[in-house]
Amino acid sequence: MLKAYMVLSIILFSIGVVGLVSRRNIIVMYMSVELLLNAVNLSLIAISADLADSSAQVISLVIIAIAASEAALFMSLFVVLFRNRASLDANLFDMLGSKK
Amino acid sequence: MSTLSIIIFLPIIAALFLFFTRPSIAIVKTVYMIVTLSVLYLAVGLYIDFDPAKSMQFIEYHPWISEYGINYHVGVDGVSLGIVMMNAIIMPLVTLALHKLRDKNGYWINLLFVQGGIMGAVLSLDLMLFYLFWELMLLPIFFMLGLFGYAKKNYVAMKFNMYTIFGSLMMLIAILYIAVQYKEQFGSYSFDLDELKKLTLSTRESLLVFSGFMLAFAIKIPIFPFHTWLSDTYRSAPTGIVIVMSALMAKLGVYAIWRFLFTLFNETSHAVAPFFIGIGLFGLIYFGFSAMTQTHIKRMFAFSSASHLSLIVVGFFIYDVYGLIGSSYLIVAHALSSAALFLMVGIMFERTRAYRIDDLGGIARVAPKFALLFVFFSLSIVGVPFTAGFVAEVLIILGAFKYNIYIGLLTTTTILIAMLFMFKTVSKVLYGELSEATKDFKDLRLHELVALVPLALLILAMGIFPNYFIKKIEPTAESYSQKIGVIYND
Repeated sequence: MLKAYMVLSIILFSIGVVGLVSRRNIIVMYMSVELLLNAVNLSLIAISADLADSSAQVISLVIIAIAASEAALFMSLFVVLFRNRASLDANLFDMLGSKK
Repeated sequence: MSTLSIIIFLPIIAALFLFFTRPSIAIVKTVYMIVTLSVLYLAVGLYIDFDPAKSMQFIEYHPWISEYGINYHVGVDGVSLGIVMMNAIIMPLVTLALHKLRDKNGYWINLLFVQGGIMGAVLSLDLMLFYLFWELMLLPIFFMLGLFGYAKKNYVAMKFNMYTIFGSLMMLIAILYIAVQYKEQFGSYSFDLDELKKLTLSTRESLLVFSGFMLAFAIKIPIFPFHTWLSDTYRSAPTGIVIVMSALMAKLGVYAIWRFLFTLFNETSHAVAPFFIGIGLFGLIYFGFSAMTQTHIKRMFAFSSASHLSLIVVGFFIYDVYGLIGSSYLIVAHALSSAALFLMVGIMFERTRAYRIDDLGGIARVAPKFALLFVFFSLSIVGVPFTAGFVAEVLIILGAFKYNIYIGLLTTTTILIAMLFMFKTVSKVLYGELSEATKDFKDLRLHELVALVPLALLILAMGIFPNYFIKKIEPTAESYSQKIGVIYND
């Protein structure tokens, strides 16, 4: 049973990574990040059930709480970014990566 | 709260306080000065109270996340005492020399923060605590690079950050792995250095964990294949952060190799030592020649720093009492002289607005005091007798000759190479014809002299009376070499 959960978790994680790398819309990228977090959550819960140790489930609850507060923060950042450039294309906000 | 905790947390708390209250720049500078001077006062007290006969002292132990074996555990011994002292000495002097040039709150707040982070990383004896401070130290450097740097600063800040975070993550994985192994062998988690010493790992495991740690330290130092962030970062960084990186952060990487890797994986480190001696010697010569070909003065000093750091790595890995004492001595000596030189390069840039070596020249004719101090600090980097660099390099070379005569000969080339690149720079910058940029060069003002002369005197004292300083390091080194003796006899 654990194997099935882990495979699902790996699939979700891969989708998240591909989405994060290939899509340039900031909201879609944010959704991919959430997918990564949830893949990790799923594997944590599955392993913790398998080992009959509840501490990983506590950690995954903490992760969910952090992800929720992060969502609120991200939404406000999106509003600020959109006001600046009237677009949410990540290529417009590459100030930290440009060689200039 | 005892001395060590105050030394660590006073700068951090002051920085947070200044960040949230947003006072005027004059108040920020005053607070910076008061905090760094009180840290210096406490550190001098620590130095006087330090009993050379015992190794680990002023230990503080408070339970923190005891369930997972993470505790607040700090202490100081002969080698870390040197780093604490030079951190405490350099920080207030930086302000003295730069306080008229920099009028942004963030500059001073970040410097305070980085001081606390470095103190914490040097003093912590718990791996989780160490990791925390190691990351804490990176954050202000990132902000200062991005906010106050020169030319393509954003790109450089991002590259530096990604490079070092990659290394740190490898270290985190290694730390977690040994904690889990400890649980399997002893039944509970522990991140304490004294506890983890008892751990027995198979050769393959300990080699992998060793590499995880080593990657983080090698990137911070940097030793040979991990140096690609070096020249761009040094070029773009503001003076304050260049001093922190070359004088303090890089030394912390070498110190961490000794403190954590030699303690936890003594046999593995001993087995891979020839490899790192090779890399160190190659780096020493390679960085030396790179320094010779640079046209940008900050890049030239960046490579000169890297060359000497490779020498320090060699000194640690030759596994000898002389090598260990010499390396600890060179950590302090090189920190003092490179901090002073980068300070002078910063001062020079503010006056001439020129960084290219070819644009400078003839400064000795218009600014004799500047020229005198510049030559003095260069001589200390080269390792001329009566300077601190000489004592340290001689000790390392002695150790290298005991290890192997060819390694000894190659190590001796450091003095030759350092002489070549230093004298070339000195002759081009200080002598020759006055150029467009240097013809109105003002000599050092009083506050700059007050910052630089103590460093010069300290280097002179360390060169003439080395015994007074070495006697604090020696017992630590000797108790350590007894442990090595066990391995040699195997």
